[in-house]
Amino acid sequence: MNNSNKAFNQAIALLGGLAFAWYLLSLVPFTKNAEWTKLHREQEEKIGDWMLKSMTLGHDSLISAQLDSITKVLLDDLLIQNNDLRSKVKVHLIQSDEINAFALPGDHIVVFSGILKEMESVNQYAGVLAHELAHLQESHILKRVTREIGFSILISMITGSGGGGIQKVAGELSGLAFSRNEEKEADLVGAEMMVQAGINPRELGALMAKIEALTESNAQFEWLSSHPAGKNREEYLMQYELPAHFREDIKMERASWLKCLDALSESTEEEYQ
Amino acid sequence: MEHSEATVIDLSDVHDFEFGKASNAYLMSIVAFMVGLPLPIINLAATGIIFLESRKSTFFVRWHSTQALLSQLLTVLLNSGSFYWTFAIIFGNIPLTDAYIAYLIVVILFNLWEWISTLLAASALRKGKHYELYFFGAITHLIIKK
Repeated sequence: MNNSNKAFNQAIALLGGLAFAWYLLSLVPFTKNAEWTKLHREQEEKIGDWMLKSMTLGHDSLISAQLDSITKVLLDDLLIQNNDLRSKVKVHLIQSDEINAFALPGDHIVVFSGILKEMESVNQYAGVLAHELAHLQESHILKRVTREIGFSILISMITGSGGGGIQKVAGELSGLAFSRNEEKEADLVGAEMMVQAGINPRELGALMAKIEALTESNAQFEWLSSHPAGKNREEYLMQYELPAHFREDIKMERASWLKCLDALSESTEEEYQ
Repeated sequence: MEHSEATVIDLSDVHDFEFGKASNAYLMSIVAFMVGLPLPIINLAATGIIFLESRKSTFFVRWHSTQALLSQLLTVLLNSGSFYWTFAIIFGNIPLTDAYIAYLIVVILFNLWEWISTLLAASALRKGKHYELYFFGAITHLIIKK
């Protein structure tokens, strides 16, 4: 056998062997039901509880029977195809002028009264909830936690420091925005949830347009800064094509919604499960 | 891995000092491997330096420097893949999958195989023997001519 044939045959054998070994090993379910994924979930919940406490510290929770009931209706309708998340998700309505709403590890969603007051209809509230639910459903929060813990471990390995622990990581998480891809995914998944619930996703686009306009003159509008690329998102939500079978389901009349918002000042802690 | 007495390379033409110099090409990559474990490019750079230095050396030394370099090239390619995949999982939106863990195992096993082969090559040359690595030896024969 000459050298070219020998090299060719050995190349096939070596590279083919590596590829075959990779294929065979990839059939092994390493990640399925692994113990460390369960630990991750526990860590996520601990981080979520800690973040919720620290981020709502000094703020009262809202109490409104009407808001209670409409939140439950919206969660039921938006998560009609995700019973698992429906049973876990907890929505916290917090008294604060900050125009913000966000999802936290451990399936928490926090909505500040500041953003509620900007909503002109219950559909816009549904839009914000759908968007945050989509972040939870698509595990964006878990990915953020993984990234930050991974980054923290990597930094401590490189610098030789002991690392700051979960609490430090959780503190840093609160200041971070999702990536543009994650935002777009949350918008589109949230829009699908809205359509299934009989709510037009353009309502969320309209809310974004309003907040975008307000943001230009006031730095306190946090929702778009933690959810980047607002204008672009507003455009594709406004152009969202509704399926032929779409039938709008009115969850609450506009007048009732506005009346409900007027009652927001009388509130204490509420949690919707 | 293939350990064969030279059929193409005639050892009677090789001087004693050449075995030492050829062995250094492999030792360099082993030392660099231990120093720069997380950054696979360091092994390649170290082997590359030896390769460049040996360009005007004898056929035997050039042959082994080239074989050492070629074996490092594939290792670096595979290691870079695992390095960037890991990086993407930690910092990007790529999920941790069974395929990733399988790839990592294959790369670790290949590194072990390559590392043992390199050690055996360096050791054989110190004893005055010629040593050809599986596949890389055949490729080296195609590249390096007297």
